[in-house]
Amino acid sequence: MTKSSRLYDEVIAVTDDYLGPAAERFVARQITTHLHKSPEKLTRTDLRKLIDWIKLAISLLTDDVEAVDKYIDSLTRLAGRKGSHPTR
Amino acid sequence: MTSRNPGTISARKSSSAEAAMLEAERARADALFLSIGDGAISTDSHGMITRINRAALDMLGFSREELLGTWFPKSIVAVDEHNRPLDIADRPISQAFLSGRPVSAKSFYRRKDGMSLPIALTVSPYMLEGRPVGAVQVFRDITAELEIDRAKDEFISLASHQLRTPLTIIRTYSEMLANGFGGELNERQAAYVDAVNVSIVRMATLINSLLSVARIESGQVRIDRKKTDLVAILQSVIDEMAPRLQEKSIRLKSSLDPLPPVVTDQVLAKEIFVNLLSNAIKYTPENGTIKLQLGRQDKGILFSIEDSGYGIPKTEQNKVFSKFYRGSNILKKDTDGTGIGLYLVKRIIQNLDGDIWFKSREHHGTTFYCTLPAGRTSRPAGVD
Repeated sequence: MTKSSRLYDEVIAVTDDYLGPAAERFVARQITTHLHKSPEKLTRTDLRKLIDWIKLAISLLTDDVEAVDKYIDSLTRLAGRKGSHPTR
Repeated sequence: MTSRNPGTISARKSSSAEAAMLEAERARADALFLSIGDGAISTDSHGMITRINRAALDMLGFSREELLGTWFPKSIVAVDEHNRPLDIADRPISQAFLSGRPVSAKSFYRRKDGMSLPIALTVSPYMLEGRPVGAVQVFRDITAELEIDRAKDEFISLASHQLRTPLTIIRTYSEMLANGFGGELNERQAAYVDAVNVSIVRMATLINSLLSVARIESGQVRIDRKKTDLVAILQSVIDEMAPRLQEKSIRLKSSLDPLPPVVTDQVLAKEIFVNLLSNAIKYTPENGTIKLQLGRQDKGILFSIEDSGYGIPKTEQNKVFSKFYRGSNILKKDTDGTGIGLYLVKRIIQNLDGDIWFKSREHHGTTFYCTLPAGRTSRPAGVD
């Protein structure tokens, strides 16, 4: 439980670099709508499932492909997924 | 000397055959996409436009080169009816990504010439090996449909207005006849005149409803916000409806919390209560029950009305607030309904910044819930 909460906090921290104060709202919305669970209960397995949706959503907010890829790479590392996320 | 490995040659042949098949498949997919009659645009996981068909280019006024490879949210701007850009969160594509499911909506795109184009669209996230990798959206121009809607609304408005004047005259003379101003009526004549009067009242109600719809749709409804005692308004509506409740032996249970005055429009608030209670009475069979609740909730006032009526068929529940919708299960039971009441209620509530929703089970009944903001009671009454 504590571990999962820390993961959520880490995701917020990473996202904060890109979205600032909107980070928590953005991540929480992705978790609750795609995973139907409370954001604090996020696990690494969940995060692996969620990354693709997060990438699509954030790509509607910025056309900075490099920044998006960097952000997704950071999340991928947090999720423990090996290798870079496929890009276009 | 090198010897050729027959296995390697065979593998190469097979790999080139697969590549050819893949290429043919891709060409077919391209041809299919590009030949769709509606506008079609696909974007990748970065929101970049990867494909766009001729119909989309014609509707938007761009060339393929101007859009391919560009960032969709910036190149194709979604706007509201006043040509103001929509917040990205409000765009159907964002909702499709958030829900993970196709989203259909009506919206406007800004054309290259700056004009807004009304469209009906469906955006679907598309998946590759179970993972979302982009979106496809298909849209069509609905300018003509909107024009037809507008013409229809104008006709309803004009026709209702024109009908009201002669109806008022008919009503006046009919009441004069009923009251003996044209000489004493025998029993049969009096019954005929009564029947005429009942129908006149029904027609007047219908015309007034149509006019209310026309007014609200054209934005002519003036909202006169003032301190309002909703409990008193609801109580007066209950009193007015008492004969109809008694006629059907319907039990009315009400739980009306004492409320401080709220700042809202008294006439429109009454219209909401009248329509919802009248609806509940109409669609509750004899000896049924209606429960009313009015109280405070987080951000304002919550009103609910629960009936033990016929309920709304599940397959039709998405149409409940559509204009002229009538449940297929009540068409024969009640032939007088117009299908305007709930549409009107929803529009009024939207105008008052409230919300309405319902739950319903066929043969068990329906509960409508509506919220209204409490408003700023510190404002002087009558000041908007």
